[in-house]
Amino acid sequence: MSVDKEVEVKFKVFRFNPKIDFVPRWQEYNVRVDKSTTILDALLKIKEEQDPTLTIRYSCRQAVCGSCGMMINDKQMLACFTRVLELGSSVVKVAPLKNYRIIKDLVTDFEELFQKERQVKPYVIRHEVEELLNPTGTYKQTEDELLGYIQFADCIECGMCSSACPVSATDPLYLGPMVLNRAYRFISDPRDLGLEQRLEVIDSEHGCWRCHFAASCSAVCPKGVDPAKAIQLLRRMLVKKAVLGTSSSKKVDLIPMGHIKGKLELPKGWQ
Amino acid sequence: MAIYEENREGVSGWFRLRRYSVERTLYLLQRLTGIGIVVFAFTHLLYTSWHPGGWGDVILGVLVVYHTMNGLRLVLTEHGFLIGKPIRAIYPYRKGTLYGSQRYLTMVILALFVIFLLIWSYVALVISGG
Repeated sequence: MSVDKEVEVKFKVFRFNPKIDFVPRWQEYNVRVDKSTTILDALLKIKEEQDPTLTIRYSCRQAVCGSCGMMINDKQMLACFTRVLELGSSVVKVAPLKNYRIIKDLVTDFEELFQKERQVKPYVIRHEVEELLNPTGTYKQTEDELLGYIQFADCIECGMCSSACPVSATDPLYLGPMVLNRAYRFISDPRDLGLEQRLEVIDSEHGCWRCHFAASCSAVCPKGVDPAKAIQLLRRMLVKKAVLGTSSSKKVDLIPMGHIKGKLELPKGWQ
Repeated sequence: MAIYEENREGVSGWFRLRRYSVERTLYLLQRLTGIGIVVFAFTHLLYTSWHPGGWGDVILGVLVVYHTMNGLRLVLTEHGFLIGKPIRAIYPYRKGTLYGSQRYLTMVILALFVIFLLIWSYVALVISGG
């Protein structure tokens, strides 16, 4: 445990239960923190010691699950990834992520976001049904091909980019940086052949052309994903396709693997 | 109340500039100058070839020159130029859209904005006005 001296910090927490309350209110708590205390630790301390009715969502506590994104001093940050004292202010304002429906207090509803994500089919699409059912090997990728998408694959779906986006603020139908980044991650994957299936959603009024490059998504991303870059590269790809009239033909070699033979069988007892 | 439950920022989100990168400020200015130019264009058409004259023309210059120069930056970046290649995200993260060539481009564009605005103002105030 840390032996650093503790400091008292005032937390202003957004409280609102849409089922009961007419308007939201700000509730103040004083919490003693040291240099290792994260915002999430402090909120849990409030919940344990002062007010059990405070509602928060978290899971992994190490910036991997993307559950605890919230507005900390008016900027989208992960509560588990932000230390209280590094903010350098004696009053910490904590509110739910903007542009998402509030479920209660600091918990927001991502249902709409995940519905949009489902529309862009966030998985590798291939046409060889026989190979998929009875795999005989693995698909080959070079280091360069991997570098083409690996940055965008680091997304933890915390939804903070879509919350920071000024276009999402005015257009509820806009797919948003997170979804477009997910789409580009799979479109730029050399193994994926699903560009045509995703075009209708992406290449539309509320798709990638809606972005105006305010780059706030990249500014708030806690994992270095750079969704703004993904969107611009997606547009570059679509413009290239429209101008040249061709789509890049992807070819992936299948490396036969001796141990991957025949039908995939589930272990005994699995249904 | 539904409006609080919805929690959407709306147009006020454009003006939330603090704590974000400079690109957001450029975006806001691009929007505002665009609206300004549309308003001017309508008056210009309604009262044929009307323009404010004098310092009004200089303000018009700010709108038009900024919108054009920043527009050029957006044409480049939005087609994937000067924003860097995809890299491995290794801490401390350096995002291509917020560092390096894109930022240099922004500086060049802002310098060109000042130069062209000075020329515009000279024409508006001295050559046409004088």
